[in-house]
Amino acid sequence: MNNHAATADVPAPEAILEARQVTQRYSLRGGGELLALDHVNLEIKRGQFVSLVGPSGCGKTTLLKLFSGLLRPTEGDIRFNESVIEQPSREIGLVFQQAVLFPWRTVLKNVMLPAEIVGLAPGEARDRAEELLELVGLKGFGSKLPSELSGGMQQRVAIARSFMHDPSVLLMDEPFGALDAFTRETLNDSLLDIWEKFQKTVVFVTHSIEEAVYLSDVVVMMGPRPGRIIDIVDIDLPRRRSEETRDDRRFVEYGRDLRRLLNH
Amino acid sequence: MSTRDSEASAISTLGADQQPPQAARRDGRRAKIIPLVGSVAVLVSILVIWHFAIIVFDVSTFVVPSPMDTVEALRQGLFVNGSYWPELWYTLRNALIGLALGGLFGVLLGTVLAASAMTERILHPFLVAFQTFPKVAIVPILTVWFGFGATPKIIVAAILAFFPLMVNTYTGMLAVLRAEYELMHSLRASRMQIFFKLKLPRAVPAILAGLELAIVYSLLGAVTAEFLGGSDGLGHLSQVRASFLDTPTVFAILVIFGLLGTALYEIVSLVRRRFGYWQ
Repeated sequence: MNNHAATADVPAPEAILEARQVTQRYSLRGGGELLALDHVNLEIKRGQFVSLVGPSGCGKTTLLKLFSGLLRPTEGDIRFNESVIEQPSREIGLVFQQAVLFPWRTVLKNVMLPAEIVGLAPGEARDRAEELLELVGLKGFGSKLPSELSGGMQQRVAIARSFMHDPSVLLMDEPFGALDAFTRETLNDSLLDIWEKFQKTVVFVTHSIEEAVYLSDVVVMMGPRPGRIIDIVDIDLPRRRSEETRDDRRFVEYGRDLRRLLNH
Repeated sequence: MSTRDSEASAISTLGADQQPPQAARRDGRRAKIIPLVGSVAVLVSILVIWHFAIIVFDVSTFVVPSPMDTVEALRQGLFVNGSYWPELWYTLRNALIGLALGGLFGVLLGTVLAASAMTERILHPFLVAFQTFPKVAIVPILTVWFGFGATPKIIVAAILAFFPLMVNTYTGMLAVLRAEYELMHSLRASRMQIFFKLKLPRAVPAILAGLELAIVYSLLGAVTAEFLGGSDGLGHLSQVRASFLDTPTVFAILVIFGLLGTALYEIVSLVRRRFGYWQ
């Protein structure tokens, strides 16, 4: 396989994020270079839930960082709404593997942080933060400190925070990677609830094929050494995903096919 | 002790559903009373042993005064003629002004060093040299420059208070996590916002820990400088009384220093528990 699969799609006007011929090299300590991404082309359409899946070292987190504007590509362009991204944008929100809550702030104050930085009216921000906390199932936890919450609850707070200043794209870097399987599945459903309500574009990095299939409209399969896109698979499963989705024959088939791609 | 207290206060801020049950609260009270009673018992034992040791070994009052003599000297100096108060105020004032000045510069320089790795690398050898230097050795030259007044005392107190606050501000601000910066950058936070909403609060527990040290050091600096010149302050008074072999007064002043240091430390601890609650 090669990255022709990625370029084969005709560019659609509704593309919100784009990687064009993106190459990323890291120079290694003690000489040499690591080719983290090799001429990657990818287009993400507005309102879609897209997952980047692959083994470690395939460059999926690097690609996410490039989309965030925190990292500039060695070669090629990253575009948001057709203009090249040169720095982070408030239209693009981030969720990390760790919740990254400020331990000195209460849960509510953590959710309100983006509002303070962007400069929203405090009253409005407070109402919205409370609404978001309710949406992620944390009504009544606003006055707690992060240290009083479990890992799963902390990640719920982080998701609520990422919606606070209403960015049009959310980039999520293995947000549930550190959680146990059960917590992870309930958080997947919470994430889909809030996503369906606000209709954001989500780019979601994971190393779990099942999680990617369950959540996504599109799964981008990536491979290591050098980091590249192996294939892009549309997931044609009915929306309003639920427990039944996991029993769907096609759900199982998607998982199997994607795994085969990887082992190739 | 203080970490256990801060845990206890963190627990007390939890919601009603998290309140410990009756039995646990009773255990908690017992856990507080027993150390207190124990501490008082140790104090009483020390006073009793001190008292009888002087009688048994027939120690002269000129060498070691009895607890009674010491208490009497304290009573005289504090409540009868009140001669300790102006000296106490002088020493405390110098220590606190020194703490404020040294602390302010310490926090400022710590902030600058944390913000600029290049500045840190340039200044590092000088800071190490200055920190390891026996700082009270500069008192004689300070006396030459500033005379026998309060200025050299304040400067020494400031220099001693400076280091723990500089070092702790620096290390506290370096404790900011990479992902925390990335979060702020992704929101396009300004440098000021990153400082006030992330770096400074991150460093607060370390700064307060530095303040705990600095307040003790500033008192040490103010007292030491009095020994080396001047005519005021509790340190100076104890030196003068020692030359007259008035050991009860010397001991009384030591007791005052002990109480003063403890009180200052406790005040900072209180502040630390209030603002460093999340650590």
